[in-house]
Amino acid sequence: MSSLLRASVDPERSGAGGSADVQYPYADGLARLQLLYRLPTSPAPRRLLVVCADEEGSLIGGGWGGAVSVTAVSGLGAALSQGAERFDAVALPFVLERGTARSGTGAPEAGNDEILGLVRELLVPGGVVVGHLTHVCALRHLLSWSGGCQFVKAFLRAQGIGRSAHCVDRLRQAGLTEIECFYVQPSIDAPMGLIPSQGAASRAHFLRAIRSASGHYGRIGYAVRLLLAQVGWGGVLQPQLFFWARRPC
Amino acid sequence: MLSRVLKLLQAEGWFDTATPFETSINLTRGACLWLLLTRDGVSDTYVKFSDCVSLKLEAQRCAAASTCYRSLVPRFVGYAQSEGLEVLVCRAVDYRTLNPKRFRDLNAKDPVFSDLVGYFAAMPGTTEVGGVMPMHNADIVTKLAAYFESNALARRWLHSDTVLRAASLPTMLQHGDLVLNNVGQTSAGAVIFDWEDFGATCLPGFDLFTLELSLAGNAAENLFAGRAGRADAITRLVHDACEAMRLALDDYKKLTPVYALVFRYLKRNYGPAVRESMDRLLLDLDAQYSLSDV
Repeated sequence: MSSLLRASVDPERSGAGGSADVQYPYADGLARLQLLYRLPTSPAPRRLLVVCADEEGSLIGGGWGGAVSVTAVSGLGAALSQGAERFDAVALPFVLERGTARSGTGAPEAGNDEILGLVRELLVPGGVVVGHLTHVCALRHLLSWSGGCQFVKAFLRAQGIGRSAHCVDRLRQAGLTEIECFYVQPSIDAPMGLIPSQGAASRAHFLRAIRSASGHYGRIGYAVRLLLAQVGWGGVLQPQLFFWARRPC
Repeated sequence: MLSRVLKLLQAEGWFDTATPFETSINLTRGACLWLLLTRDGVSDTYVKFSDCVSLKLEAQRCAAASTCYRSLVPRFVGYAQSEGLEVLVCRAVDYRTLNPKRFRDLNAKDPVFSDLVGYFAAMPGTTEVGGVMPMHNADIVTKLAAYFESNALARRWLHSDTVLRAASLPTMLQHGDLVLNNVGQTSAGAVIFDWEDFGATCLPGFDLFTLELSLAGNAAENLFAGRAGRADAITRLVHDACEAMRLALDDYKKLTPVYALVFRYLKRNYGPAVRESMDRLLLDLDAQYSLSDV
């Protein structure tokens, strides 16, 4: 597809001619989500294991450019004990947090630490784990009953991972390195960006964004948002986290 | 993909990845991504990259714009490619985006306002840039007629006398997508982004039209209502910009359908949603025309 697109777009963009409309590859939200999963470089031959809780999650492997396998969370342990092949990348779309909440199967639930431990073992040295999860501190979630419960659980549970700082901690605890954690902008269904979730870059981003969009808010709304950004809580408006980390070589 | 981009930047000496930095990743609905690299939250470098489309022409356009409008364009740093990956690098600028309300409140002495008028004033001098092949004004009818072959409204507009007037106008390279989202406010004045269509058209007044339309919320009704009644920064800008380009205000207004067709033509690769919204705009403009005397 790449060479075809390259060949067909250039004359169009030059204004030199051509009258056909071109469909760009990232026009669709799912295509952009799949692109996010390809961003952290994984080693060759780029064998990907998608661990997913539902059918939607399995779509993550589209356009990957290497062999793609799919498994449920419950299949991780079995795969490892059977001496399954190792992977260059493991994708965890909405698996962490949600993985721990699964019930009704009669099987013991896998905790975040257990999942990350298994994933680490399944990765080749230098392999990358990449995923997204609900940001439990997002106002959108906190204002719903289930979101509020999830928030409380995340704080009470030792393995809580739904806050960016916790996410980084848990990945580090699992023995992973080169950890990056971002807020998804505006949402994972149709992502348009990843914002650093910690430190000065995060604060600067939200201050810039809120000041730029001042005309969209009432005075109080603007003041509240600015205050949240000033104290480093700008991320409470972002509904999901996106992360990646690497198994040390 | 990210590691490859960063390695390329380091190898070219455009950004020191050994010193701590942060990355914000921005997606587009096109075929590229771009990064904002910051150090301790302070903007440093923009990196546009793609592994499925060439950025070479865009880099030429950015470099040309950076030369033509030195104070208005983020400084072009370089372009490189390696194993199917292409990167285009500019220095980052700290800015606030503008909104229509903030723009309407600008006074004529505001640096943003005067910078924009200065942009239009410099336009008559930008007739040719190496590597950039504009759609020449004399070829407008042929190009648009071929593209809009099955569009009855466009065909009707293209048969009007106004199009002939457009064909005879002097060459002035246009930004090509000068909308409010691509104009920022810095501590020094204005900054203009997104030069990927720079020089795709050289029709005087085109950039002014796209800016005026975006200030009207991309609504034909607002555009016409504003032209009929307001006396604000937008009116002043249109007046001053036309004067600066030596383009008669009356000509500018009469050329509106041609500008709209060229805009739709330039947007033909921006995906179905954009194309559909542009097509609706053409219909709305036509409806407004039938209500007005213009």
